[in-house]
Amino acid sequence: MTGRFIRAAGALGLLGLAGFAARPDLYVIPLKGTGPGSRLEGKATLSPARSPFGLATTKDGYFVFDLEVEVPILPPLSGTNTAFVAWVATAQLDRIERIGAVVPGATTRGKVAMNKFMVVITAEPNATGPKWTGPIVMRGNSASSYLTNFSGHTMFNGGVPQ
Amino acid sequence: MKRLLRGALVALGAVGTAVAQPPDTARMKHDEHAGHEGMKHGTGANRMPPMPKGMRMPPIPGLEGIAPKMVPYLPGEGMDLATVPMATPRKLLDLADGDSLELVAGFVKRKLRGKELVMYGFNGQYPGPLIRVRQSARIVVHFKNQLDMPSAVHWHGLRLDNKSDGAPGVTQDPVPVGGTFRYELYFPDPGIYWYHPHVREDIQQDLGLYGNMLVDSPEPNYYNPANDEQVVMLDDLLIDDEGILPYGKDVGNYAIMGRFGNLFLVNGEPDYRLSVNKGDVVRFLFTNVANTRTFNLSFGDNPVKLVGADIGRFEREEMVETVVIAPAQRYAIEVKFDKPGTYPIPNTVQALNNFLGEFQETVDTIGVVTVGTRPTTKDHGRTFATLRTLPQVSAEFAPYRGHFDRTPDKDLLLTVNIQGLPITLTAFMSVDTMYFPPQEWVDGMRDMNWVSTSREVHWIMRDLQTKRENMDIVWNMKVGDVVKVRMTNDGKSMHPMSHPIHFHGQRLLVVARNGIPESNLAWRDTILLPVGQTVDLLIEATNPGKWMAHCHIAEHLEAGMMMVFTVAP
Repeated sequence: MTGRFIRAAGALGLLGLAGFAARPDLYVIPLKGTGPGSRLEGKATLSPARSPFGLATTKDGYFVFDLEVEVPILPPLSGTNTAFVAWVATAQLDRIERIGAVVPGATTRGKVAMNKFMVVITAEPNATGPKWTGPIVMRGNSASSYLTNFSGHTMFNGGVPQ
Repeated sequence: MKRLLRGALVALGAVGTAVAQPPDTARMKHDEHAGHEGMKHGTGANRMPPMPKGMRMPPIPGLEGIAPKMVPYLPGEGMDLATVPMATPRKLLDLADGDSLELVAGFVKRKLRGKELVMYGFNGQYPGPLIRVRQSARIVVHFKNQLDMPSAVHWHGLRLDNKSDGAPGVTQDPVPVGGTFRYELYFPDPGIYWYHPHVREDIQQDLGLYGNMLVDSPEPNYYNPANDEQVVMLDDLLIDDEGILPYGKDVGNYAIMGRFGNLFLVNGEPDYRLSVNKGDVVRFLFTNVANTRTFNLSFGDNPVKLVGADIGRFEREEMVETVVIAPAQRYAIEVKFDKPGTYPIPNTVQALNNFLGEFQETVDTIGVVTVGTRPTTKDHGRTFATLRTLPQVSAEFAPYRGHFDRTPDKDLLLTVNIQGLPITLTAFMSVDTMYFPPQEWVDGMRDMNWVSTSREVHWIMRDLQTKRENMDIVWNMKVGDVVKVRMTNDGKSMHPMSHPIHFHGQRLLVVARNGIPESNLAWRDTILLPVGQTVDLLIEATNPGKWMAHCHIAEHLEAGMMMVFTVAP
């Protein structure tokens, strides 16, 4: 009986460890470079947008966040590209919204009201285009993007979280 | 870390056969997603609730046969229903200074969704009587408990004498079945307030024991002129084909997320209707009396102006797109209806379906406003178009501004400890921790929430300076103190949730959220703190006594999330 209890407690602890260790920060999105061996790093920070209710929402029920994109170093622009631009996009890419031009060491500010989304930095011919056209230089996913159905959790299929 | 995780999971696999089979997802019947087919745990009085609207989840292997460990309770069992009176809509009680009122908590019958249900009511009404008084009035309430369990009445938001606060164990003993209690109410502040039991709120309030108190200011233009004023209590009730889903008699149930209802009630009715003339301005005084649900209300394209919060008005009126109102909060808004037509009042949320890991837009219409073609009898368009700045309101905050930026005196962490649930359930919960929204709008993990009781789930207010928790916390203040409290909602716990935190007997100011100063102040008594966020508030200690502070999710209160602070004269 005691052994069974200890095994149960152990299993619980390990499950908890697995769950917690894999948990991304709710409000900070790490941005990573996309090229082979890229060491580019940055972050996009979400802050709840100001609301007299303490929770900013749209009529459709989306949470509204202020977004700050910070990248300390970016590679030189090449070809016809003249600017790095930050975007937010849904996982389905059915909504893509421009946040603004990204300058190394500076903060680019905007808003986002999406459920699962990614932050993308692209190299663009101009900083004000409505959609990204250039190559993706950096990207990161919101914590909500990692939600999957229960069948998709690798630990239930004998796998190990990567 | 990856190596550690891999090792952990290999070890888990080794012990899993002995203690809990990891759920075999291949056995899940993904073609049987309608509600809970194959997953109807529990029967009769201890049955599983229906899934939230539009959500479908398959049976989860390993969870067959689970049920909450509790003694189920439903009102009226064994009673002769013929002796239970049918409830009537609330009546307005216009009371003068010095008046008294008899308030009886008892059984009533309601007919909802075609079913006759036994519920509770104050004075046989739903909601309880609407008490209307002038600011600074004093009245006496003779309370009588005709329920089948002890009770007491808390006068939410009133800065009244401590002995009348209605908090059993702190300011009075519970009123026994058949017993009485004399409350002396004092109304120092104008605005909209409410009353409800402070014994087993998860049962008594949910079953209909709530009512509003409307306190009129002597100031003639306290609120802007309006063509109509609607005092609206927002609620939800959890029912299925058999009736109301049971409560726990010995423990609180739905202890993780609270009891989300599936029948929306406005002033106790499922079908709220309002007819107005074209051009009318309507003032809505909202109170959220739901156990756990936060609403996100909107009014179509009709402009909405926010004017007041829990206790009084904002410094500056502002236009808002939606009204987000958490349990126990109140907001005063004005809406202008310019175009004839029919306008639903939707509660629109991006509901998280935890099983599928997906958000889904969910719209529940809580009422309908019909705008006629007849023009308004009195056009308030000009005043509606003006956003007032109220220097007299700002002046009330002036003495406290020096406290806004200083170091907090108190530091509270809101968190949870969950122990003793079935291991398979805990396994699911642990992988369900990848993401938590700032606000949970629906019960998207119905089975887990249903099984959890206050025996396994312990919601915690932790004083980070003393490490004391909940009722072990000792906070001593004296009248005249201004106490700055930082509250952080732990986003890394087993299951974070937003919390509406209520302080009894005093007024509060939210001065910053997540380090950003609040730019439009209003006095409050209940503050919504979303997941992973921080709020800085000031407690204006004006009212001596021993007072409660707690989460106003009724099930979180039942699961321990409460503390006491003392204000010395």
